[in-house]
Amino acid sequence: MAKVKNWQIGRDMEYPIAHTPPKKQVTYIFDINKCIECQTCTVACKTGWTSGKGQEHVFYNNVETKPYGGYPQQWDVKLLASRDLVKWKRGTLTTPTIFEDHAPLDPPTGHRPTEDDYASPNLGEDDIFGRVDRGAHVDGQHPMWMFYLARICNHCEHPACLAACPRKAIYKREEDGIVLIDQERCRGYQECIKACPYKKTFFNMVSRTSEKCIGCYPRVENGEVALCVESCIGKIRMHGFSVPNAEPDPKNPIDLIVKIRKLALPLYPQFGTSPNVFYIPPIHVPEEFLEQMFGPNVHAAKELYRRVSKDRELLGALLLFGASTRIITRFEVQGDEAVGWDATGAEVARVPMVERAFERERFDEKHGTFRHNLM
Amino acid sequence: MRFLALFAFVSVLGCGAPPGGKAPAAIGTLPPASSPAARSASGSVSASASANDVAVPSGTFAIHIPPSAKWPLELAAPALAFGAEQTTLVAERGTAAIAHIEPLASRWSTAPFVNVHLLPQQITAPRLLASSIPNVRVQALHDGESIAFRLVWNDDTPNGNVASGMFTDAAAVQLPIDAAASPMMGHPGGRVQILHWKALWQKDQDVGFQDVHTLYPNIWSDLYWFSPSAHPHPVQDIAADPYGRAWLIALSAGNSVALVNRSTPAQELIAEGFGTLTAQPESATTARGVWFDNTWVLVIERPLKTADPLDAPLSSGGKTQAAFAIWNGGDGNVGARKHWSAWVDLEVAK
Ligand code: SF4
Ligand code: SF4
Ligand code: SF4
Repeated sequence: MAKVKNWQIGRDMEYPIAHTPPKKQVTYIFDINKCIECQTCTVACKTGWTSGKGQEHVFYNNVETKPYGGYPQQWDVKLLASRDLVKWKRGTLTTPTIFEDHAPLDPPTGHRPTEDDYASPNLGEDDIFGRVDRGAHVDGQHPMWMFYLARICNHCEHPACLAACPRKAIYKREEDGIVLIDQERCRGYQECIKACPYKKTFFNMVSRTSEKCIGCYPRVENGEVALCVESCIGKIRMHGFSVPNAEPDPKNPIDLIVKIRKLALPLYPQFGTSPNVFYIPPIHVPEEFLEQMFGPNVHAAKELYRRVSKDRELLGALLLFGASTRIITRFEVQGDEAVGWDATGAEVARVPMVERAFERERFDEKHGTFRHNLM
Repeated sequence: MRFLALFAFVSVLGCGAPPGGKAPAAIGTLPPASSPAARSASGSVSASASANDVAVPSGTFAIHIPPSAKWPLELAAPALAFGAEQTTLVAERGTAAIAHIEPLASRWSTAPFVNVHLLPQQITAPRLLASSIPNVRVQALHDGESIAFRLVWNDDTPNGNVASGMFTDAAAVQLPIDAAASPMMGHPGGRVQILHWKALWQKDQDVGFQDVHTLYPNIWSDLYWFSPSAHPHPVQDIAADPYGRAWLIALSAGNSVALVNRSTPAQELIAEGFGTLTAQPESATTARGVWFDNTWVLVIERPLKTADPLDAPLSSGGKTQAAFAIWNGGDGNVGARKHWSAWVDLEVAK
């Protein structure tokens, strides 16, 4: 066991392997409020990477409906239920992570999904929490809720998959922190599948090895965003880098949103893997539920999101979501535009801070007719 | 809201055959394949897949049930017999050829055996918490050219498939390459050779490669990029196509666990400590395992003398050691979660 820093839980943590953080870390931000669960991301990834024999149930990207959905089924609920209740004290996790709650010779605490858990990717889809009783009507905010959770591998800073692999077939790349399974070394022991709290490694029954999200590394090496990011219809995703343990850079949109304004939060930080997909929490969902998923900063993040139009820098960074197929590493708000540059210094995005809108006369003189707006 | 049906790619995996050779349901209806949602989604991604055109069947669809339902192969109730029990494993020399000796050949019934005690592996992570295979009876025979080990152990469920959460039975014979190598998979500088057999590979040999449709007869997928054939798209066809093969990633990377046309259910490996297990590109080891009456009977056979410096030295009249490992797939045994033994003295008779 080694002591490692885990900023997401506000303390140092035991981790089975001593390791140095990568030079920079691939990082994603997903704005849950904007996701429409169109599954375009899922299909883009599936078509691009996992259409092979034996990969029928493999979804490096999936989008599920919370509170009842999950792929594999109940991936998170099973782990939560098997562990003690989580406690935070002023931003510090006081209960053990999955690396700290077992005997030294045991792998990270996890569970093995069954075959059936992989059989129904859409189970629970669009199911709401709460009942629609007779006489229910819209009066301000709906008391019922659900939301869509888009999930990929978190390319964790302290990956449980890597820690669990007895063959050391899993590695984290020094140059960008992408976590990969070496397909030449893997012997299909499925230890990573049991250990990954997010269940983002999958067993391929034809190759008899485990496979996981490759972080679209061939694209990242060329400065391009991942397939699931580029294809996102709702423009809910931003793909970038952050330097671990460094002073956050306010010109880096990822650092601004995650580390400076703390608008986007890690998924289940209490597990301890320090995941690198950050979520802007859905503002209509009760905080008791969200705090279990995203930790103690949910209230502040929701409040900030409601006031985001007053924070021009933050708004500028958010407007760059889905604005380029290139990875934006630096941005600025210039007048009434937000501008983004890629790692080569080329300008790759320029978007208006306020969407241009025109109000037309109600009566069209030329055609002698009234204009109707059906919305 | 869902604009595209995910089931374009996935039929219902969970409705297939139960593992372990019980007869699967013979006929399946395939709503995903004939539903409009599946067709439109497939249309949206198959623009460049003309080589991939598949006749989409409609309505009820009879699935060909491969002979894998009949595994393990049925044997005519053989009686198992052994010679005297000993504490040193002596490979007696016979005149009859050892090559391809059957697990139930009559010569085994007089060969002496050692009752090797097995412990659950609890030295390194991940541990095996509970033992389910307390011992294995081991015999050895040679003819001056080849040596064969017969391993006999009780296991009331033959497990010859792998899938998510599904593991195969397996066994291994370990021989030291360097004298005084640790029995626990060797140590740095102390190499061991491992002769490994898996029930999965045995089943591949006996009844055909474990493909998706052999494990899940009701599977339907409307797209495998560059598959040269039609449903059920046998993986050997895909592997033979240079573009299709690119989708079999471990196979393309040269990983020997991903071979789709193995010639023997055995593999030679070397190790010098935990986590260092490395498959040998060339393997002179062969094996054959049969299961009946809640018992695995396995023969693993290797040439006595080889030119390979990474084969453990064995010779007529020589003395060395051997250790054994057994995996009970039905109990989740895999990798380091195994039963293993200490070194047993091995004498190869003159
Ligand atoms: S493409 Fe974007 S909006 Fe559509 S489901 Fe995926 S994350 Fe949500
Ligand atoms: S999400 Fe899972 S698979 Fe991905 S790096 Fe973290 S532990 Fe590994
Ligand atoms: S990063 Fe690439 S491989 Fe990973 S889920 Fe997204 S598209 Fe798939």
